[in-house]
Amino acid sequence: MFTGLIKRIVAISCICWSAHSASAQEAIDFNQQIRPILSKHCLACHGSDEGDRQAGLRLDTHEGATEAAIEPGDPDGSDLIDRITTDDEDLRMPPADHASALNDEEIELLRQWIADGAEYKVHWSFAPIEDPAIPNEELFKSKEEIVVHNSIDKFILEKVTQADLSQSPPSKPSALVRRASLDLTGLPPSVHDDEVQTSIDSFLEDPTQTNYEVVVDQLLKTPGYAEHWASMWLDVARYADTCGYAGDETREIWPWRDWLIRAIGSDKNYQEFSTEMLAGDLLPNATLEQKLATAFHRNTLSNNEGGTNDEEFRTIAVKDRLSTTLNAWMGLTVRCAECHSHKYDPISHVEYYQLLDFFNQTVDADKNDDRPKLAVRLEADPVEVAKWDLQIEKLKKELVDHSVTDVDGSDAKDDKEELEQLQRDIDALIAKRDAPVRVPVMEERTVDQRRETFVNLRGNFQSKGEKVTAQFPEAFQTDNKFPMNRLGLAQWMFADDNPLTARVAVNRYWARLMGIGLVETEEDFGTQGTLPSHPELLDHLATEFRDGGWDVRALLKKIATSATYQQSQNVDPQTLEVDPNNRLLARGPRIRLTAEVVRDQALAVSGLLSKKMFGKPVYPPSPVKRVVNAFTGGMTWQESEGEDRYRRAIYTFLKRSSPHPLFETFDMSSRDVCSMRRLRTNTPLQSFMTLNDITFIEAARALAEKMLSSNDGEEFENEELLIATQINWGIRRAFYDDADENQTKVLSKLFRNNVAKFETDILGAAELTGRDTKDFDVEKISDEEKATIVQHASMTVVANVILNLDTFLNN
Amino acid sequence: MNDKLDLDNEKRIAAARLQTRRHFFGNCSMGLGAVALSQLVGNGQAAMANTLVNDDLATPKREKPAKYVIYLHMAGSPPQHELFDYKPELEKRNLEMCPDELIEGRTFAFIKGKPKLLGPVFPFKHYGECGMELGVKIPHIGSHADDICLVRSMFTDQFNHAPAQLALHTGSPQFGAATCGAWATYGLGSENENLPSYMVMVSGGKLPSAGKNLWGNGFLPSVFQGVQCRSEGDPILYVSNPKGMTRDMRRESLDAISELNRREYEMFRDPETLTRIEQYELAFRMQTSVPEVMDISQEPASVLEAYGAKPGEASFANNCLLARRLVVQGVRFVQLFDWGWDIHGTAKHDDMHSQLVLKCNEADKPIGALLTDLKQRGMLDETLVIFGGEFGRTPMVEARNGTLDFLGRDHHPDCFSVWMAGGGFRGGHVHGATDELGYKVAEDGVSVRDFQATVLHSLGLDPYRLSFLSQGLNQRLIGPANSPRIVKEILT
Repeated sequence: MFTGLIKRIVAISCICWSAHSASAQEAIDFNQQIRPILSKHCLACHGSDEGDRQAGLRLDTHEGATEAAIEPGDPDGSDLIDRITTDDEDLRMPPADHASALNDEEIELLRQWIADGAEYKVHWSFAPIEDPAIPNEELFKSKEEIVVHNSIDKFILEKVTQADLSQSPPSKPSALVRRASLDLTGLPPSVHDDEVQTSIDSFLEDPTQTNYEVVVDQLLKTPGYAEHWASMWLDVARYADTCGYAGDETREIWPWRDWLIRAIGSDKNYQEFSTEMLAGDLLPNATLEQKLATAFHRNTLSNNEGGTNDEEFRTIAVKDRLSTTLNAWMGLTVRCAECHSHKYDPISHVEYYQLLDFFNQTVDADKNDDRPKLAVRLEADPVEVAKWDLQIEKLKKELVDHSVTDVDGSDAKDDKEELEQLQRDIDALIAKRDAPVRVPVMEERTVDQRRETFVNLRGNFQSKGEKVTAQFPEAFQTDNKFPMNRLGLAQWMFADDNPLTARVAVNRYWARLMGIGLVETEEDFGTQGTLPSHPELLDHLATEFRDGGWDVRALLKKIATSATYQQSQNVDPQTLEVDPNNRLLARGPRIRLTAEVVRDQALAVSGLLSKKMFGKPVYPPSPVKRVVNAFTGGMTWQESEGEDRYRRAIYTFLKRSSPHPLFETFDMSSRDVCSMRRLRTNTPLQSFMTLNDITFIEAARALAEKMLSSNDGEEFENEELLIATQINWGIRRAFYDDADENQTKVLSKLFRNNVAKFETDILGAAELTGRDTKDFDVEKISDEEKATIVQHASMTVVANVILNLDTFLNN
Repeated sequence: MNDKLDLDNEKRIAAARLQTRRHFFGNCSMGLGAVALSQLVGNGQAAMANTLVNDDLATPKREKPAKYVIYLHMAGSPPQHELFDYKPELEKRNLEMCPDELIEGRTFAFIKGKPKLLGPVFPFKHYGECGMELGVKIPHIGSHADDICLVRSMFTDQFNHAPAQLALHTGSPQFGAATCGAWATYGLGSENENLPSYMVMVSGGKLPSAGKNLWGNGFLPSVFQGVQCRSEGDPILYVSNPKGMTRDMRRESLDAISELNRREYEMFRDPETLTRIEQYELAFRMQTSVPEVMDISQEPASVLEAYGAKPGEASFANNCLLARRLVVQGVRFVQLFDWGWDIHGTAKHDDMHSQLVLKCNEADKPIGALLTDLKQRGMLDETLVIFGGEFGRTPMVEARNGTLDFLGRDHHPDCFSVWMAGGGFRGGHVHGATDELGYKVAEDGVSVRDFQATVLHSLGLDPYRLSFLSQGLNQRLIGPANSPRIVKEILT
């Protein structure tokens, strides 16, 4: 039975998104069927890297292949077929120690392709974006009720129908609201402002598409939206509050993080937003904000260890800027071209350094003070200012007191010195209070100071080869004329004829909402990346995005309001078997929440979350109290007080060498290099964190309190009903959905059993609820107070369970 | 068909689906740990494809591969000229000027101008039947000379601590690559499902220069990250229940979680839900297994005495004993970092006569005890113990302050010594040699990448095929080129 199942799964997987079987006598698609074979077995030695090319043969171009190896139209007369099929082990390609042998199916595909004329096509993502026709609804409109809200659904349903699956029914309205809220703002629906609540209420009352669209519009306007999507960009920017390497000193670059949040929340489109980050300093009459935006690329690591070669680490940073830029905006991986020509994608060794020259012209040079910096004066934080003022006032008072008491002039000289010192102290405090934050930014060297860029032989910065200047790579030439600097590079990326930028962008936003990108390898659109599951849909969205003015909110709205997104997550075993990873989207996406959202949501539903935005990073509780780095001494994690303990995770101080355990445990990227997607894992360390971390315990306590007081003033027939009502309130608060009978039953039992236990352990109950137990004397506590503590502790256990349920941790 | 959910059957189907995917993306002849794999199911296909260990092995596997690694990293890098590489000529020319040809065009981390040579500050002696020459300051290590395979001809291309440590442990001097321990657990999986398979302990009061990146998963999924055990507070973060919650209360709340998650699974059939149920159960088991294995007070007094371990302290000695306890429990890769070996000679805290002597006293006895212990338990054959720093030190005295009040040596990438014991490495064997002054490798050089290839090979993994697709590169521990060599001469 098992083998049968396995065979079926394999067979179905093949049909869905792997090479079509050779027996199907349809035209061979080079990009879908042939290139993957060449890429896997041949191109490492017979590809675009001239340095490693064997026997002078290249198989990545038609010219190269037909020179000797392939005779179009004649597979039997083609050396290639001969060499991959021969029995002679010395002759057979690929050599056993280089790559795996071709299987029969692959060989048959190659034969057929050669027989058909061995036509080469440019790799799909390097070809221009074509606006494809939208599938005709009639094709998949069957007897069943099918919902189509926009063009996305038509593309999706076409494939769903082809796979003999069917669209899932819409989610429950409340579940949909929770999903949209978490996806778009990283926060549960209950914490949003009144305007959002009103729209949600209208939708829940009358769940129409129009009302749902209003909800989505409202969510996209919240401050939470900007904070949530900033997280994604912080991964791309490899943002941290320290500068990395051995010293890992603090780096004040958080005003850029605030710029990012403001920019996402503003009306800036994707192009403006990106251009400012890459080259804001080069824009005509650049504003302070535009200059600040360029700190994006100053998030590279800098090495302040004694005895390091600044040029070496400057070069590493500059190379990182290039690879981050091409990776983040164009889905190109260029790191291999640092040492030799790319074996698979069309970026040669020389072209890499021509591209590098665009980035090689900034002033920064791995100096210990991270210069050049931009003085940024921020809107003062009133709490901070008050703290400074308090100290200043104290000194001023001292100054006055001194002046008054010392009029007799007994020790005039000493007094004068003391008074002067006091005045200096006051001035220093005022200066500190009003000091701007100095943020590292990009600054272009003057024309006469341009750096020369050389090819680095084997990637070594000290082995200089040919001298090069800024050029766009051959494969991505454009008809437009652009300046040969970072600004020109940004313009080149956003030119109408750039095939990648729009595709990469829409794919990334799609992936955040749907769980997996249309191109799963969001970071690699090259020939080593995965093929798109829905190429036409990708191009359709890319065209709309580009031609519609790079409007991110419009894109997100379109995805979130599609019927596809709104489907229920329920899946029947059959669909699961056919499509375990939900690539066809015959059901709604179901995704484990990100590190940030796991925490923020728990704080939000328990009412602890602070809505304060912006400013210096904060230090929420962490079990790691002290981190000692080599050479630079240590850093003590001085826990923040008041609401700063409960700010959104994006404001948590991020030390590269020792990030808060939340981030590591829940798969945040390391922030050392650009990261386009996080691989989700599911580990016991995550369970430990949400079960036992003090933040999650505080959230459970607070939620328990809310639950216990949720029905103040109401009368209940019996205790059981009272408890059930309180538990149901907690579930509704956490899941934004009514509890089912079973949940109420299981949690009520848990509550009762804990009451019984805590009644014999009042001290334990007091500890669990966070009461001060230093001078705790059970004898001295009134029965009423005891009952309160026991109730609170028992409900805390229940809340702790709610905050750990799969429903809660997933969206 | 019975509608009621048969959880066991569901799990079998989920496991079969995994197997299938694994099969589909290539025939995996090396076992990825089932635990590791099951922790990855929530991602898409490419992520699954990424987790493949290549199928067709070119390098013949070792017959009896090592199963465990205990890696003793002496952060800062101990001076080989005092401990492992005796140079009579250097001794003879003590405090003579360094020959110009050695330093021409060279940059050092701290040495400026023309330095003087520095002969070994402490004498050497012959140890064991093999007569291996080692420093007198490490007699306990020396007593195991017949089990030690000493490589005197290691070299690297990094001369700053953090990049050199990264290069050694991840193959790349930059942050972001996966560490050797992550690779090993990725390739071999777990043996004890109640403990993490890659555990890390730090002593000497400071993190090593490159920090946590030295046990990071890099581009590998975070399941393969080293788990740091701590001597203060919880041995593993958050392993303890909050105050006031007893173990049976926790059990009961986990039962509730399990019951409700099971219902959730019935509704959505998301395999991730099944995994999560299991992870909560594993966490519950770890709540006892971790504190138990970390509690050295259960050891007999004679053992504590042999290691010089004292329960409750944060010391290298305790960590050595813990390392043995962990491998006995089936933990694959135990990584120890000990800070304080950066002997520059600028002041008392990094002087040969004070600091090096202190560090040798702290490390020598527990390492000797560890080797004895493993041998007595018959575990040395299957446990590879590695000792080394991230680079070497100069044969010249650093004299950064212009005086010789304190003695020390600068960073030096050209040659250094590491040693291995057990795990199929040749005991009583010395591999490679440096020139007469101990400045450069003279014979049988072993690059950092050769070393990595050899270690992976000794674990039964194929260093050329163990790979993971990330950032468009087929990432490997040994780097992109096939030039790194398995140094077969140092293996039995």
